[in-house]
Amino acid sequence: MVQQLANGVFAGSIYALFAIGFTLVFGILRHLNLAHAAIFTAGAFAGIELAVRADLPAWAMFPAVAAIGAAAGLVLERTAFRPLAGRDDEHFAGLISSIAFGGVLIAVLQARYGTEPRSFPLEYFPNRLYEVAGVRVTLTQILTLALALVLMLGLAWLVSSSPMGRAMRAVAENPTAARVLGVNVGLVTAGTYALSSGLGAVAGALLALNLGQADRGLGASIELIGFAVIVLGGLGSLWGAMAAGLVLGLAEALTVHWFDSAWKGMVAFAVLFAVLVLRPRGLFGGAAVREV
Amino acid sequence: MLAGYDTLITAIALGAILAYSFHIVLMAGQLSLAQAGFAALGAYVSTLVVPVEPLFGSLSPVLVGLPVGATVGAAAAFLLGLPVLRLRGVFLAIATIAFGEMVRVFLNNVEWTNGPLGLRVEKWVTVDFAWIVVAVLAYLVWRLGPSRTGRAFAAVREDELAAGSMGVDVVRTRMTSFVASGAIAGVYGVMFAYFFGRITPASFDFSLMLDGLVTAVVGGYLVFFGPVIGSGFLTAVPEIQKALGLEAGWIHPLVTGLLLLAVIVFLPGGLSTLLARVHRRPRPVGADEEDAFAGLPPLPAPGMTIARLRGVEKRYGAVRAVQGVDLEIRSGEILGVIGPNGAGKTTLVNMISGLVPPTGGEGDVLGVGLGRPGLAHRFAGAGVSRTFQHSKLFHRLNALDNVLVGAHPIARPTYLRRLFWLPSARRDERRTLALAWAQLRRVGLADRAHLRPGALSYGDQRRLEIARALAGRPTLLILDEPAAGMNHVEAAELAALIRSLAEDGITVLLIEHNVRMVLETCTRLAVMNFGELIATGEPRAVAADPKVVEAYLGAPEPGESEHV
Amino acid sequence: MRFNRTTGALAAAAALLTTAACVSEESAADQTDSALVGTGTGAECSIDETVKIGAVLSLTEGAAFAGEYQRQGLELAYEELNALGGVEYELIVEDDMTDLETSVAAFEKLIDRDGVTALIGPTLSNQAFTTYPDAQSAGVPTVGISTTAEGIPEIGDYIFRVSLPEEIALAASIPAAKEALDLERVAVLYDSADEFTASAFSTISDVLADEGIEIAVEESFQTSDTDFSAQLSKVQETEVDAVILSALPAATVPLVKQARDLGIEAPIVGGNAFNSPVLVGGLGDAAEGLIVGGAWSSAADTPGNAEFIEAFTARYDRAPDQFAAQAYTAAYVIDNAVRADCDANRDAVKDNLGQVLEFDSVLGPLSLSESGEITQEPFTQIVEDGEFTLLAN
Repeated sequence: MVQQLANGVFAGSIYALFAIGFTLVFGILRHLNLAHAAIFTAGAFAGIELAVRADLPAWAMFPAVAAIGAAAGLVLERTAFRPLAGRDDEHFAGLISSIAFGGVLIAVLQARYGTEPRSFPLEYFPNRLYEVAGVRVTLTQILTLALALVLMLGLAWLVSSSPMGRAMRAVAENPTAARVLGVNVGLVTAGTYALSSGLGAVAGALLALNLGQADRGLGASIELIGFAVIVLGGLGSLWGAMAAGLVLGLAEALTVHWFDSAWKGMVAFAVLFAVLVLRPRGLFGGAAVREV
Repeated sequence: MLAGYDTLITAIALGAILAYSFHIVLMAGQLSLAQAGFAALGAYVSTLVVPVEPLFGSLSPVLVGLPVGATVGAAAAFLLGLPVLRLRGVFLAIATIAFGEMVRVFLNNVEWTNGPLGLRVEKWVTVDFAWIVVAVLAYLVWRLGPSRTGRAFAAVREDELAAGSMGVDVVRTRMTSFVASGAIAGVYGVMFAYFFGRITPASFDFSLMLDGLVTAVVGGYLVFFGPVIGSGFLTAVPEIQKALGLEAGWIHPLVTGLLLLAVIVFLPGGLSTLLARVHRRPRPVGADEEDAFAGLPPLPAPGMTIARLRGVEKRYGAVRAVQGVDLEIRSGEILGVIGPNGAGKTTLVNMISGLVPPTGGEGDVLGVGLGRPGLAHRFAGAGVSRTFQHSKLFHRLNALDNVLVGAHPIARPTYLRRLFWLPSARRDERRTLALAWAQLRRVGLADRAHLRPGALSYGDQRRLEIARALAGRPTLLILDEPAAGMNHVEAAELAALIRSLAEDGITVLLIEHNVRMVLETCTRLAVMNFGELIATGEPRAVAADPKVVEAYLGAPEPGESEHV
Repeated sequence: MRFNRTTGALAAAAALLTTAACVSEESAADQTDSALVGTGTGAECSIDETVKIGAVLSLTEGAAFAGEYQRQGLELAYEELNALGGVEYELIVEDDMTDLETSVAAFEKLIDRDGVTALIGPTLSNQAFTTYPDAQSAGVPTVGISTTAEGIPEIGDYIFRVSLPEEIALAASIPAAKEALDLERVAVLYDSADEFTASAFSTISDVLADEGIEIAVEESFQTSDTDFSAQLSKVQETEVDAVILSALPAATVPLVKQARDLGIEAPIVGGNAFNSPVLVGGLGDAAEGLIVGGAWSSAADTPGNAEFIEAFTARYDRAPDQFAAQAYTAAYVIDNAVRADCDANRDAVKDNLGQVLEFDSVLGPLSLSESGEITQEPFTQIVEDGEFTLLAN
């Protein structure tokens, strides 16, 4: 049972890491970025390629993946979101254009990496096993949890205390007022995407490290759960995304433990649906759901 | 020549049918993405009722399946809509996606569906059959566009608040589009089942939903044949690719993605707008306004009280935007409401028009009580109409269509009659058109009726909003800063228009900062400050009232402008 | 004037409606082309006209991991067959993009527009259930090479398969494992979202019941899952002699890896999807002791196997897997049916396919019944020292 709790926490940490990038863009810019899953997958493949071809050790691979992800985020913002700014149908069009960008990115990945799963070299990251209080964990899982926490806390600090973070929160409140007050909204928008995508790419590489391999469906498996996480956690709330990720991971593990694993697939969606219908602002969402 | 291409052509038809289920909700601006779930339910339930043998020896058994699928889809959409339709935008999208996934998992785990092993049925659907269904759907959507219902869809899509204020029952319109989408998705499910001969829960998954959405968007949701264009185009891409000999598998998703991106950025109305670009300039319908308005109940006699407010209050948290307002509005008067910015004028007027419910006090306007939210259309139906401080015109409709929406409360629904080309439908529509043209002429926009608001000057836009507000022959017309940004010539014309409205018996409530215009036009003045009504009465007297002077007007210095 | 137009339009609409709504009997035309008949039989057979063989494979998207191997197996086979002389084959490969509609369209193209003699594929049983009835009604002999779900050959007498049903492979590996490992209680984990693995699961349950083995734990997961720790923890808590897995290839490596990480030390038994060299490469040490049932083994001493492995590896720079082997075999089996009467017409090929008896292939001796089902000896393998070796029966 305790093992199941641990399982839930580790699964949840991946969900949370995926979700905070997602909710960052959602919270600050009100965009639902459906290309995030593709960037997640790209990060996984990039990490593997860096490990295999460039022989980068893990401590160098992750920052490199983050940089690649950030670059992808900048391209995404420039091509899929900026051209739509100010249009009446900005949010709907943004949804569609991010779907398009995601599709293009996956196609590019397939062109480069083919259709088979790619693996990290064996023993790339020492696969040590620990047993603590009857719970078995691998070093990779600990790394995942630790990295997830560090990144999430770092992001939270950034948003709350740094000048960039203040600018981001200003843009989230009222882009026009922010612009009037001298905030470079374009820079903040680009920066938000870069940050979000960098995080997403690292999350992908982390998951791939856990699994030992990456395949093109990696992002798709997480994406739908990602929706549930950001909704449960509340629009734009970073703490909410973290908490919700862990809660969902635990909920799934416990559903398998107490009931039938057949229903594990439903948990995330049932939770999401319930939240939207009963408490749309989620656990920690601030303002009421924005109308229109 | 076509033999051997049957499958491709049928695939285009099926893709179009799925896209129509998105098209109909996108027409109303709803991002509902539950179609995969509705299709799955329609498909599975239809397998329970579709006979194994052709009916009466030769009629396709799928004919039984289609209405069953449509009903199941519609019912599911209705049940889903009840809790979910209060959501908007991306939240609605996420909730509906979640529903689709839940249906898939449910069908996978339930006994009678045979789970992931799926069900096998006969392949009854032929090319002809599929295209007949497409033709029927296209026809239904074609007849919808220019009808009152179709315009209501478009209005809700463009601006829900404005649509409600023009009398459109927004909730019902959204639910209608939702249910229609469910029905079409159910039909798709049945067609899918009996074309492929086999269904599994995984057949109706997230990626199917994305395909349908992409097809609907690429084809376009503003023109009725968009889904057919979209489906044809997207099916052609891999075929063209093969013909060009480009083998690599990643080319096809790359091209589709780039195409989608290009369409949404440069041609948001979809490919079909390229084909529908040639707009026929709408021809003026020149009927006498009196004839047009004939048959409507007469306006109330002058002097009758048409609105009564007692102690009305609106709080937003700790902020009291409006407090303790007692006000009566009488038929035939031109009531000016003035005051500094933030005084609560617009909030007051939002309550009178039913857009916002008061948090305290009570009142009624033309028989409708102030109270619950979401009833703006009832007020409009009772005879209240308005313009907005920041113009809320429907941007993707031309001027004429904007005004036609305004006629919603007095126009008769014509959709069902249009399906059968009944002459009474044409008569009703001509009547509505006459109404609309009369208003356009009245504000001087008759020659610009074919233009979209974006192509009109600012002053013309303000006038268009007034025309739209007048099209429903309101009893009480609320104008929120209509003269903002106008020069004094335009303002004078506006003043003349307002006076002529009053002569026709329409009561006008005017919020304005142009004090000269207010003093010259209004029969009564009400002054607000900090949410309270500080003075009401005859304009000159109120203007001289020291409280008003202190709060707002100031004493005029020689030579100073009379605008505030 | 208008009256006539309206009447005309109505009449046309009515006619179209009638044809659409009505259903009629269609019969496959009799197709015999004398140009496809040659002289001699067997190795001496000589046919002038090129024999067209169509293949519908998933070369992209979801099932591409299998489709690519299949295409390579086929290409290699036809290269070798054309080198034999006498009969010239033209292989036409269509990518169905793991999409049902595309698969149906590909079948239609090959049958109607290209006029192939025989069809190979598709990669997925799901597509097969929809496309095979078309091939059947068109009278085109079709050989499945990876369609292992239940009920495939029953679709019609033109439908065959050289892909050993998952149930047979498992049915052999479970008793073999039972003997080798003395199994009494097992855990079963399967992908409940995919029809292939789900139908395998129902067979596994039957076989276990027949062998008197108790299922102590039964858990399922979804195809898209990447994290199996919750289900595996339940397995870990229970004392079992072996863990039996039915999954698609994408899940195999993470499943085994996570199982080992969670401390599950019991031997793992897998089905067809585990029969791939990629698995061992991806798992390293964790693959030791893995028992895999399948239709082909790289370690088997079947006729032509060593040469096949060598030629494939040389040409494609990677070792073949079961998918490649089955595709390769299908080409040879069809060739055998063509040469039997030296007749490459569809019906002749179909008749001869149903007569295949103890045909020597890299899969071992195989037979095809008239109903289209394959009979062969399955292989049970165990991973030892990073290599697949045959488990002694």
